[in-house]
Amino acid sequence: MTDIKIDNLTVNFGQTKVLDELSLFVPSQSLVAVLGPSGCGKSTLLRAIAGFVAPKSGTIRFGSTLMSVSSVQVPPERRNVGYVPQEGALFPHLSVRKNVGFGLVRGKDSEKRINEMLNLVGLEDLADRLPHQLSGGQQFRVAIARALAPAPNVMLLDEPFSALDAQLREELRQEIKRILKETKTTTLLVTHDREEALVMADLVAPMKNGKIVQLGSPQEVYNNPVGLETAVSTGDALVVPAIKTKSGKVYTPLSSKKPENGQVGSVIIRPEEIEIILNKQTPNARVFEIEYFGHDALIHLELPDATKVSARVAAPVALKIGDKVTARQKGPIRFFEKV
Amino acid sequence: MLIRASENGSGEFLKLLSRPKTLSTLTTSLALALVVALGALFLGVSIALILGKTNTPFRKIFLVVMPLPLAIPSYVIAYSYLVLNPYLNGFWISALILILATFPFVAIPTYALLRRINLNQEEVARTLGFTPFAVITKVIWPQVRVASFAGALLSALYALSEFGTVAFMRLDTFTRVIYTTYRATFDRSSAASLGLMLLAVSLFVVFLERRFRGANIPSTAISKTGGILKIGRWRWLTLTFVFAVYFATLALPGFLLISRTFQVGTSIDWPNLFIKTGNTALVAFVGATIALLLALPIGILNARFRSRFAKFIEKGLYVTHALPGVVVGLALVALGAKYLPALYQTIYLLAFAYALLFIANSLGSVRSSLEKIPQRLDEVSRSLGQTFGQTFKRVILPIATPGILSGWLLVFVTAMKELPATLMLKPTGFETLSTSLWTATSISQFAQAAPFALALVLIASLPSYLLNRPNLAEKEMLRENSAI
Repeated sequence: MTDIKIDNLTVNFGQTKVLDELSLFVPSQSLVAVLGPSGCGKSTLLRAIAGFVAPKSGTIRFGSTLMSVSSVQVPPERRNVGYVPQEGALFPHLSVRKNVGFGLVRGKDSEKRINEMLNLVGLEDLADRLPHQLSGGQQFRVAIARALAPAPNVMLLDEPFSALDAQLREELRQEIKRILKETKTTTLLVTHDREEALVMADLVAPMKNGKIVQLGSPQEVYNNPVGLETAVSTGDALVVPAIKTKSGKVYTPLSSKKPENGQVGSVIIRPEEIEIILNKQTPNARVFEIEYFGHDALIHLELPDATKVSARVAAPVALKIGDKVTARQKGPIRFFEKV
Repeated sequence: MLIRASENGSGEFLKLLSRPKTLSTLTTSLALALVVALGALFLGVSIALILGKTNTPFRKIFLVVMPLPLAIPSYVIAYSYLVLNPYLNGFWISALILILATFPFVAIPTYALLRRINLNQEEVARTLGFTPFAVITKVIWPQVRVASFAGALLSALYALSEFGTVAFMRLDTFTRVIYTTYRATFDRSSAASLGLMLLAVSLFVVFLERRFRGANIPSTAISKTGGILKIGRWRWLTLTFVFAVYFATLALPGFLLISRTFQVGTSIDWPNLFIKTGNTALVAFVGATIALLLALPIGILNARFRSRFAKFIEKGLYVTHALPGVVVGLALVALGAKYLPALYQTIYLLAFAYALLFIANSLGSVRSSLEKIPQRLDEVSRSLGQTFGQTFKRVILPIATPGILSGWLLVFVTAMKELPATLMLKPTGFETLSTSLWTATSISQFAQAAPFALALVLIASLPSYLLNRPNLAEKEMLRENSAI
């Protein structure tokens, strides 16, 4: 297994810069998730690594081996990557067994390897079925087994679970993570689903406008986002106006008093970082809506200066619309200057 | 090739143009094309609406036979009407036969679109106060008319290039005049000039048809297909109408062919019939194969490399679909006699004519079968260590083969029914079913012609049945692609 090192990679489609001097390091045997909205260039990044898109400049290395540098590209069939596109893309005319064995050189070892792979994804009994006879989840497992069979240098997963329904998605996430860890495969996954990125990845890399803007553990990226957009892309986030005084103290509409002057900017608050206190003498917020999810609820509050914030509270919920409460921020303060 | 053929007549061309005979030929051809287009439009849309939107009894059976008239050459229908009454001739009976033979060009796409219009649209229109009839005229018709018009233009194109029907009915349109000029006087330059005029008219119609087809309305996903109107007692009237159409197109000619064949009965020259059937199939086989071999590389270049050159060639070849058989026949006679004496008077030149005439069909099937295969499959295969060549062999070809073969079969069937180019290019002494039918009918030996006509219909409609039978593997593949 090997790491992936991408330096200053630029990809143009006509006049549009899809990847803009992008750099990213995927450590050996780790699972990195690139997280970004559709159209940010994440699929292009994956396709450039696989060799389907020719970058204009920059380099891609697997370990110390150059795969792509300016005009010289190693063709896709010689990169030894495992590629799992969005819909799985099984070969419709081949059985499960033949799909899995597609990238193997035929021989007595190949049968053994196919069985190993089928065993790994738990599909030994379905080896002779055709793809259309499988459920969506089974098809996806076959796609994973097929990609892993030739023992690829790296695995590339493009929005792997987006076509599956919510429950199946959660099951498969855990299973695929286990398989990739078991096989110690270096994996790059791209997704627009923040939960998927946070649950599966060792490292999350939010992407914006053709660049990777941060690389860190899920916790790091969630707790200390480098920018407003990153904060919003990694989870629910309230962007609240704030003032930072010379002494470094930050005041928000949730604070008791407002300073005369200071630096104007915003603060990012996660809904679970707002604490609601009942029965207090000096309430500072009014409940105007409750969104009930079952396991928890979002309480929408209006502050005296008409700023609206939301607090996540665990069920059961004892509040009702119109209640006067005190809202307090309990988490870290992330201040961003106004540009 | 055509320019070559008309070389010797640049000044003559104008003289020919001003001849009254030329003018009347032009008017007759254009009038025939117009009447056939309008008739096919009326008949095709009526049939599509009746079968697709009303509760007319036996709809399902009529749906199955809807494309069948296309499998029967129109000159066989013309022949069977002559059996009924040998004195039939002229404009209106030709027009009627051509309308009956070509209305499926309109009915099939119109019906398909009708069924694709979402029921929700109709329901919304009803809640907005539209009567069921107004729904058809204001909501449905505007969405299907483009396809209907394009189909009517195909009928017009067919009428312009059809030879057998007008020849049997002794109507002097371009094709018949060209053929008789060529046969009677061997005056190739004036025949070629007339051919050029016919070609120009046909190209214009193809151009119109392309314009219409380009403007297709994207349809929404089908959740529920459109509703069926309950038309009460009227449904017996619509049933009578549909029945009359298919009686005149299929049942009556079929009955006449069979009864006359039995009349000839024991005197049928079986070995002769077999030889001619074999000849027909042989040339058509070679022709369809040449067409496929030419279409395959172009289709691959287009579907997988988006080559500009291939796109240009494909557009150019699409135009061949406007080439009337007489024109191709004439051009290849000239080319063969002058430059390819080795091929002239062989079945290969005839097969090449078939390839040229029907390559557009071949190309269409190659292209659509390749385009159905998602590019993702290629990529996965490449990432698994396969070169493009290996990917082609292991992934693309196995998936595309059924579609490509059915395209080949289509060309094969169509070529078997070809008449004018076959008459002009067949080696002396070599007879196919269509030329035998032609010869016997020309000398009014209607009964002797019946076995040839029947054999032709049988070998032409059997593969059509295979083509139209829902292809199981393909269906499953489609379902699989939408399911993942």
